[in-house]
Amino acid sequence: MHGTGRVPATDQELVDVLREGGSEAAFRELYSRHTPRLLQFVMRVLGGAAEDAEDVVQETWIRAVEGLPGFRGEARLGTWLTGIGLNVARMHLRKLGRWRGFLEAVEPETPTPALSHEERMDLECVLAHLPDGQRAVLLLHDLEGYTHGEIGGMLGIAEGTSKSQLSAARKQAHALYDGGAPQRLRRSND
Amino acid sequence: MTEQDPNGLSPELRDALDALPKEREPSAELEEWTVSALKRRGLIAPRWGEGQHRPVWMSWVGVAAALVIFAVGTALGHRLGSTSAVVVLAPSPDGNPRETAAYVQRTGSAHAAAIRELAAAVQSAEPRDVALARDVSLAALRASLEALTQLDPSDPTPALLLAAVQPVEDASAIRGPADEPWVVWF
Repeated sequence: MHGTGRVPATDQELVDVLREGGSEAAFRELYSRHTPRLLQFVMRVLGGAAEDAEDVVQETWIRAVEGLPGFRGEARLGTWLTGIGLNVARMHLRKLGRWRGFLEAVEPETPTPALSHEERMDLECVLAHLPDGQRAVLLLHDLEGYTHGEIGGMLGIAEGTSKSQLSAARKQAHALYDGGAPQRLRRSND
Repeated sequence: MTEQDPNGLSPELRDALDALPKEREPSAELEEWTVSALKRRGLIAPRWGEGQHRPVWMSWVGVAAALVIFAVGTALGHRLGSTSAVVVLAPSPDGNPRETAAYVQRTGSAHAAAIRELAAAVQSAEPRDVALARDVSLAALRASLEALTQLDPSDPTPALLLAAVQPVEDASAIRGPADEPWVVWF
């Protein structure tokens, strides 16, 4: 796809080729461009389960390619994939009995989990201990940069709910996180 | 930890979030699993030979094409083999210097190739046949050199070589029995 002197195809061009001819090469190119970010995001939504995250990513790609006829290119492909991945991850958490939705998360006093000193300095660990709904909104807003409107669309919730979830998530994260120096927080990705 | 805004992020948490990796390398198998799953669902086209069988008619077309290629190749080989002999034995083209020059190249190459072939088979060849071929070849060489001296009189090389390949006085040493005629074409 990236021959010498050739301009790389855009996502939309690759999507068109994949949609029209089922091109494996086009799919592999899209996969290589978007999977690393999608995988990291999904893994955090799931609370850190790497193996489950790969299953979710695979299912996300299957649903995405199935849904390509409906992809109009109005949103970036990465955004579209993130939305699909988020919903597949939610379904996965539901299957495991872990997804509790957003209602209880907006309760004013969410119990704070007991974490060790080591865990409180590890932001990944802190995020993993947030309620699933709050964590999803915080990841989307504070890490991925989506607006409350976009988050509401992805999660099927009102903008106001997204805002209240974010507020609760931040409050919880501040309560749990005890990291100071950023270098202590950059833990290995393994 | 200093929280500046009750609804916002503290600088420490903001920095910590910014420092988190944004990407994670998937396992090597994930791509192949995903591609396989998509192929099973018919969402991407499999390559030939990957879980998809060619139609029977395509196999027969392939066999027929292979046979045609083989037959054409064989015929062409035979034709080229016979053509080279014809070219060597064909008379010199008349009046066209360009064709004549090409003819010289073809016959010269054929002559040298024939000598090489004879040298390779000298152990199994009849000594008389070898001697005859050698004699004829030297005669041809001399005739060629004589012609070359006329072609470019300013070039000393043909004259020097011609002097070096003059026949020995006792030609009988390389000739066959006296009662058999020798055929020399030059």
